[in-house]
Amino acid sequence: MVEIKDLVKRYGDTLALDHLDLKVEEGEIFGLLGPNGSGKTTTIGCMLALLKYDRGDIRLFGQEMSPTAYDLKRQIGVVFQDVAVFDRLSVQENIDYFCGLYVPEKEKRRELVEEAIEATGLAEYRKKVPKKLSGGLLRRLNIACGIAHKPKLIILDEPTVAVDPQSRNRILEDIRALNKSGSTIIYTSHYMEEVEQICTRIAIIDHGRQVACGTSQELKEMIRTGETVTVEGVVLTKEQQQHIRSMPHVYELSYEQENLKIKYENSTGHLLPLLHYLEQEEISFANVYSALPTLNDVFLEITGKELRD
Amino acid sequence: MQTLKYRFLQTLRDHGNMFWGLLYPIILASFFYIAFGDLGKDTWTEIPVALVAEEGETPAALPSVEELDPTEMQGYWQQEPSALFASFIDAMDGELITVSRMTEEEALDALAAEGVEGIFFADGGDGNPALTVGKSGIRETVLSMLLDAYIKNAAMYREIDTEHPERIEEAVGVMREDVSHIREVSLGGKTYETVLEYFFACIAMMCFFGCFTGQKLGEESAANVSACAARRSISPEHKSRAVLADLLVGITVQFVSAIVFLLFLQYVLRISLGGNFFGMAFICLLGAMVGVSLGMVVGGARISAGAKTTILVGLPLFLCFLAGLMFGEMKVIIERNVPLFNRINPAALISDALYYLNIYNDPAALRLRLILLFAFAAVMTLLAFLSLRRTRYESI
Repeated sequence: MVEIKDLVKRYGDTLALDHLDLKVEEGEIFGLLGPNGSGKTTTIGCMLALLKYDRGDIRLFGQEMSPTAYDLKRQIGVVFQDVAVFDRLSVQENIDYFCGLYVPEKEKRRELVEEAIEATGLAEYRKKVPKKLSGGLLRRLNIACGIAHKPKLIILDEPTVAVDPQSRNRILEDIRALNKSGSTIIYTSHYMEEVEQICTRIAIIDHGRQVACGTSQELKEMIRTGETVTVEGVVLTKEQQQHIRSMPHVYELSYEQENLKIKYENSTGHLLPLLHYLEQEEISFANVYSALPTLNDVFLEITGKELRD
Repeated sequence: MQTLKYRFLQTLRDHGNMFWGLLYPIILASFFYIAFGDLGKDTWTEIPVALVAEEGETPAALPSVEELDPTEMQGYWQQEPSALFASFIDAMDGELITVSRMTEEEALDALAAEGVEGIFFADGGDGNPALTVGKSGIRETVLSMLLDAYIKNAAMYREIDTEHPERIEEAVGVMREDVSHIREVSLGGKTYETVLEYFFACIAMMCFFGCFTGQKLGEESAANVSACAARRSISPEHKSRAVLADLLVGITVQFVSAIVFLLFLQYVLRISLGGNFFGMAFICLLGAMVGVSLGMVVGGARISAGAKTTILVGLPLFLCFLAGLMFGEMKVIIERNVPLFNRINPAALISDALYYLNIYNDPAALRLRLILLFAFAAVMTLLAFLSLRRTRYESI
């Protein structure tokens, strides 16, 4: 459905997109994950023919995307990172206006607007102007304006920035519902939890390059870490540390200020053997927990830096 | 139609822009009205004067100075001076003064009873006419100036009539200036026409203040300036049509505001701007095109909000200042020294066009201003269209 090949975009001397390749299949919720400034929004801008780019090929629905590709544009809905609504129009008027750019038939549009209002839970706010809405409601309005015309491809650029957890969950539910109703979704975010929660496939972007792509599980399998066990408030001798280091699958151990962190290679289920050893040696501790790898670990291992940086 | 409807709604509900585009000019015009007095009403009442002159035949009065044919003056000034003065004062009856012929006693009694405000003596005793007034004030000053102008000019006309009859035309010109000057004094130092120029400059300013509406529309059209514009740009709406719709909305809103403003001046403040309302409306339409287009060009530019405000407040006010909004003589000074600037200053073109349409009937001058203003409006509108219809941006 979306195919980007060898996309290069420069802002002056800064290389924003560095020979980027992406492929999004129909029916996916495709996540574009990367830190701020990694090139996610620039990718969207190029994809929508808003931005000039230096080289590359962008095809949507098998056709080349251009500013005058009106038939293609008709099938796309976009939810921008910045709330893109008119401040003097009410909720209903905003949705009607933007839907009207795609759907000229009045009756059909009326139905679509009603559906969008219901889907985003804005029914009781339909007469209100945007400045009377909370941040979460404003984001929902932003989404409603982008999806009311029921596009086949929906692009959401960080739609949950500065949104409270309750509204965020609601927005994520909305996105899942849109996908279930048949829309393919491209979802950009720097929140790995969100991406992991809703995306069927994820591309990790850094410095304008795709550094990894696959399902959440596939991405995690790409890295060495299989499980990370942390033990807090534990006092260990050098010999004891050495013993733990020699346990199966341990590839990294750090011990600082009575906190022990052990990384195990490509496997899980290492907590019990460790606890057994600590009991055997009569070593007390305050807390212990095990964590499976996250997308942040994936990003950290591939790029050498935290996703949150 | 749906697009137009919501673009109109969005624009009309922007109270800030509507304030600058309509309410502020109304407030400013109201201040002008208060400052310049009850201009719409004919506040000047003629000054009742007594004329004390010998009974007898008075020479035929000359026509009013505006209609005077210089050839009529040849030989005229060789007649009896007191009789000529009596004839002059009689001729002024109904223009600035109302004249009653009286004996000296009757006149003095009338002056004491405030039945008249001055007494003109055809012969003040030294062969020259004289004036007696009861008190001092602007109306008495007018009478004094009338007498002074007559004495100064009568001697000159007599001499010219005798020795240089070929220069009599020049003398008539001097007389016209004098009478005009006296009329100016009679309106508190300002002629009605001069004061109207302030209102014409005010109309020019209100047309220009359409730039604030234009700014918002420009921002909402440029995808690299606002998210709303980006959302519009990625829709199947043709960009050219979208920009044209915005231009139409902005110009219509400002044009209608200008009509409301003209109606306010004519029917609320009761200022008689001149009879050609449709002509004025057409000039306002061209002015609105210039103002709104300027705003759209600046609004669509990727510069800071502060820079936009500075340009859109500073430029119109500066051009209107040069067109005489704050200091009426400014346009005259520019006309004397750099007349070209008045031809390229759209505010001056609007103000001048209104002046030539309503006051100084000069079709050639009006045509020139209208052509220049139309060219300006066309260029600005085209510039706005071309600057906003761009389809891809370097950055957003």
